[in-house]
Amino acid sequence: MRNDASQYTDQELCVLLREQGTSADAAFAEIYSRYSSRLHAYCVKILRDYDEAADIFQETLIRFVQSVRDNKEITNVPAYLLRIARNLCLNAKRDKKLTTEPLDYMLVSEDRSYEKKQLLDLIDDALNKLSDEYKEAFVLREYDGFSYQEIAEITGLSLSNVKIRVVRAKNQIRELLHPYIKELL
Amino acid sequence: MNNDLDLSFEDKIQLYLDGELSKEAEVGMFTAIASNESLRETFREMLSIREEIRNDHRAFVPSPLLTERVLTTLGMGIPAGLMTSPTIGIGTTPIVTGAMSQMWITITALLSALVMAITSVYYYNQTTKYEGEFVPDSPNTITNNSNSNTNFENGNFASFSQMLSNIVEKSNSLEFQPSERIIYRYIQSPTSGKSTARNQKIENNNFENQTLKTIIDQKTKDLNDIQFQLDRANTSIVSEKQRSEQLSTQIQSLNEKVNSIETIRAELQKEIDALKLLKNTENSITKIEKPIAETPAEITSKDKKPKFSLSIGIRGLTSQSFPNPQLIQASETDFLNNIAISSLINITDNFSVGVEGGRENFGLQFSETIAPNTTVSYEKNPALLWGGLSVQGRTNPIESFWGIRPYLRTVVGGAPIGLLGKVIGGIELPITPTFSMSLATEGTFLQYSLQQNAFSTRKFGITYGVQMIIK
Repeated sequence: MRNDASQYTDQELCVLLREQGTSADAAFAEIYSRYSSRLHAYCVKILRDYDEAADIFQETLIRFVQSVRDNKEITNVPAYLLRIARNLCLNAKRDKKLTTEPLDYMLVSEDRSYEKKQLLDLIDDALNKLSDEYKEAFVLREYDGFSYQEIAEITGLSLSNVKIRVVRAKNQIRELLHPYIKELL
Repeated sequence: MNNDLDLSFEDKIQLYLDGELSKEAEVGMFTAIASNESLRETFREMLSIREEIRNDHRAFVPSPLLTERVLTTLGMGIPAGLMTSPTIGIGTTPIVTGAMSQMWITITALLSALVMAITSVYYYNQTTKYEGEFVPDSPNTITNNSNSNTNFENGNFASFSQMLSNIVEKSNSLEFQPSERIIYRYIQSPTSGKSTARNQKIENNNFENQTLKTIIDQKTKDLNDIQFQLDRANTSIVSEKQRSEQLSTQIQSLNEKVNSIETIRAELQKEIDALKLLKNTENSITKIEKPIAETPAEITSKDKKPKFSLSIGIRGLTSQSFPNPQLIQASETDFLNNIAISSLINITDNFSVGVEGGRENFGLQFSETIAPNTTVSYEKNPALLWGGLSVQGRTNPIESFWGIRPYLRTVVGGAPIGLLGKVIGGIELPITPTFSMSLATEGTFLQYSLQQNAFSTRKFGITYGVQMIIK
């Protein structure tokens, strides 16, 4: 193995991950380092519950490793991760609807500066006012940085549909935040 | 939305920021932005939203506890640097810190806690000078906790503890998650100054007690958190050290393997070179129509094939004659009368032909009645010259018995009085390549006639001699 796991491509890391031992550990660590932030952000923003998001986050990575070790061919690791997470999140949300809706105050921000906290909270609030489809499109684009094509692959939508959803979601967010951002800018 | 040119400028801005706007539409968008303040504002707002999202570290960074949980569940080791911060956000510089950075964070946290403690003591001293109320820090919590609006003015001092109890009850009833916290901060009341002095004093005392308790609890919790972080940092340092040692061992092992592989490679290269050489040699050999020989014996015989050699031998005899009819025993051991000289041409190493001759005593006996009462008896043991053709075969040297060579020789010839045949069988003992000694048994048959009567004599004995090979 090369000295630095960051030198490997995702596909090479997947091959290493199929082995056992330190190589697999290092390969997983590198994949984790590359994509855990996007995966975590998606789970948190879609579910709006850190504990639940943590569970889905963990389950996603476990299923990913299982898939790799089952020799499943994975061409786009981040998209594959997000596809797993998306399915798990959809299941979780469906199950949750049967019980209770989360309350806004159940998400309490950590210590941040007042302004930052305000704007981030406002973005969160605006995001939560979007429909699930628009919210997902916004999160995949803005938090996870996927291209429209990748979002289409993850969600199974057509490219034009993705474009519509992302643009409308961003416009809605901007409209919701417009009065506040104007003061902050 | 298939054609970007048909979109509104707001939509075009969104697409442009996502890198999805076509080049043709870009021109129109920038022209519009240049002349439209509202569009410029939209542009700025979207950029600021995006920038703000990048700062949402809590969303982007899985907690160390979660990372540890994932790795533990997967049964993987915890690599250095992973327990802190993975790559954050999209298009931002990766923030990857190691255990040492974690240690500094912990130290910073400790110092911060110290400063906070000092500030809190100062704050605690100052609070006696103020009146006011505690409200939850979060606006959401305010709307959901109406009991928290309890005012302390007008001497309603006991209600503060009641308020906390209510909030706790309310919190429990809402099934707060363990990670959730309600943070209270003190807000000065605009109606302060209306309390009486006594009420003010009691209020201050209650306030002091509650504040002190809250601060102590909070600080204890902070210290526990810090201790936890410190323990984690220490664990990370130890883990990283172990990991480093493991990596060093692995690197050393890999280097050894590489050296080993290089050695094997060099050896293989040598073998390949040798094989190439051998192949070339074989190609050369195949040009020879037939090998000279395939076995050492063949080599010896083949080598000698074109060269005939002459073997000269001289041998003595010790034998006993058995004439027929046998009337007497006839024997002679005189060496000079029992000698033979041979000259054999070695056709091959194993086969020779030649001539042999010698002088030898033969016991002869004759007895016949030629007239009534007249019997003629003849008895003689003359030394007769004899000669004949000789054929000899011999084996290859028996290396396990000093290289001896068993041989068998037959002689067909004659003596002055009749025909003669000999059979000799024995061994040759090579002394040098050209000189050998022999020891054999010999049988001789002599057929002769006298006065038209046939007689014969047989002899058996031992012969011994030497041979010399002349090439």
